[in-house]
Amino acid sequence: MSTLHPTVVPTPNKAIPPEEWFHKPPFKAKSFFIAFCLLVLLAWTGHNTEIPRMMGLLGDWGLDVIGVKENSQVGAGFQKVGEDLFPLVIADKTPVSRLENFDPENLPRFSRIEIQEVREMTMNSDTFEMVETVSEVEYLVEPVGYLQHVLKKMVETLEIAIWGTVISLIVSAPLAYLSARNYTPHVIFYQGARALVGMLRSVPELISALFLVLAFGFGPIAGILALGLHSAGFLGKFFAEDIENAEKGAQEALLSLGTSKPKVLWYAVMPQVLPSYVAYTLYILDRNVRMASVIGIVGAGGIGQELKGRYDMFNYGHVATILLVLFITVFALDQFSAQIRKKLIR
Amino acid sequence: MKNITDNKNDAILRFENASKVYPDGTRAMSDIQLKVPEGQFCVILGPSGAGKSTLLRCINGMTLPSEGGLTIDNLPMDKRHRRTIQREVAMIHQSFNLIPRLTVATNILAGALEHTPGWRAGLFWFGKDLIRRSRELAHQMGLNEAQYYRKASELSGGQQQRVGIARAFIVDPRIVLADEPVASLDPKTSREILTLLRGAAHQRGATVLCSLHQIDLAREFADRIVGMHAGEIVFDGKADELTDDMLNLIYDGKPSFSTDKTESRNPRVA
Ligand SMILES: Nc1ncnc2c1ncn2[C@@H]1O[C@H](COP(=O)(O)OP(=O)(O)OP(=O)(O)O)[C@@H](O)[C@H]1O
Ligand SMILES: [Mg+2]
Repeated sequence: MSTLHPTVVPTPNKAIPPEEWFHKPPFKAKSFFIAFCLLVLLAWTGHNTEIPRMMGLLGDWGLDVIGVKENSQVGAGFQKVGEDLFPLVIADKTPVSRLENFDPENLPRFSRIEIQEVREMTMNSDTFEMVETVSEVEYLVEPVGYLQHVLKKMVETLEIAIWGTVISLIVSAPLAYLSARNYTPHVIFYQGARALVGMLRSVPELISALFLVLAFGFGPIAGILALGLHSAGFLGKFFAEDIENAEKGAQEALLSLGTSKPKVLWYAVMPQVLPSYVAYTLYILDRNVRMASVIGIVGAGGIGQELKGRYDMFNYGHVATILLVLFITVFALDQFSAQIRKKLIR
Repeated sequence: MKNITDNKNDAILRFENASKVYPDGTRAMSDIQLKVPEGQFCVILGPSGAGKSTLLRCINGMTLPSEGGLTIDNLPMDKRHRRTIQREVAMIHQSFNLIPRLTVATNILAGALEHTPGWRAGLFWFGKDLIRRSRELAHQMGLNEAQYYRKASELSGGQQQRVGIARAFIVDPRIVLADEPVASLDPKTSREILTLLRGAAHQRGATVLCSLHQIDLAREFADRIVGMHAGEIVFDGKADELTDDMLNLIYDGKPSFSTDKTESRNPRVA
């Protein structure tokens, strides 16, 4: 019986001998020409973006670090920043005179009153002499007051990021359906949705936030919308690509039973793509937390607003606290989403 | 070569001079003439690339013949009638094509999606009758309750194929296609699966077309064997008519003894 099994190659209708089959080479002269052009282009843009100067500065710094050279520009810059950032400021120190309805009998928990002498040089208006006046100023010191404030801002930032992500999901779901080539109800929807997705993705959050702040005023609304719209473009694109690339077997099986397209999408595609959808969403959430901290700089709420204020006042100790809290939050979120991803991809 | 059915009226499936040329120029089916009556278990044999899958995919409308006609239950297979015909035709696949992350229960019920209103299908909420039927089918296919609620990807190949058959039968199709349904299964399981398929033809009255690579299984189970070679039907008859000569004709394109008349049918191979 085994001899009956086909050893003969199925006869094609037009028999071209193998030596005449067209063999497509992986690289052609054109590929090398394109590579060369790209190289030239890179060299040119490198010149425009001061890459040679960057190399020089980095070289100096490297020599500084190993002790061959002294006083590199970059090294000095970093050293100054380093000195300014530490120690971290976590306490809050407010002159009592600036506090409304301050009650010395009933201080906030863990806080204490500090009295400091303040020496000031003033000019005596009669004698035109400089006189040193000493006055005592009462401060309310809350040992972790500033940290608390930063944490509160961080929570606000997280809330902005979460709501931005929720909005992006709501917007991107229909866009993904319309812009998946194999499930779109009509080419017109496909083209429209693709254009919209591209547009949303092409406007960076920081820039849309700038304008949204003008429209909705300072605060979280502008931030939420800026994040939501941009990440809707991102999610819409990736969701649609996953639908297009989903394994075809089960889809064909249902389609060949005359099942309507939306039902096939729901039954044969969604279960397949759901884990990667969750992964994308977690990535977007992670990204939105970072971006929510940035867009605060233009007044769209959150920790960025605080960061910008402190940076402008040269309070680098405060800036350091903010950066530390930000770093810990992003790191924790990363761990958290890694856990979820591990649970899902099984 | 004679057709088993000459009575035109009881053929549920009719290919008339049907050919299929793929866009890249591959001629996968040429001038196919085939009538299959209701309730027949018809096995298609042929070497790799003979066009068996193409023939079956024409019947469930996944591809349309490029020339000639195909009528199913007196409806011509074209863009207009495709959906109507597809509701009467179910297919069992070599690679099972189940939805891996969903349960066996949902996989079976997914075969009846077109019999469930959209909003209920969206909520994975099927009618009581359908659910009862899916359980019965799973039981008939030899699956137990634990397996019925397991994820499809967690079953063995043979068990997955049973789910595939249950999914095909849940809507009581008039035609069942099976493309190498036992290609990846062991001999014992293969026999069980083919017994189930033959049962569908003989007990439910469904017309079953099944492509196979196992000649012994074809001989054992088929009511009728159709042999294909290079896109043409070169044999059509009962199991006992499948002689060694005929097997050579199917698999090599020429009978072992060149005196045979049939050689003239395949000028290409000579
Ligand atoms: N989508 C397609 N586009 C182009 N050519 C195709 C396509 N599908 C199949 N073919 C070609 O059509 C011919 C018949 O293929 P088909 O899959 O029907 O063979 P088969 O008999 O099912 O083979 P096997 O036993 O290996 O499954 C082959 O030459 C194949 O390369
Ligand atoms: Mg095949």
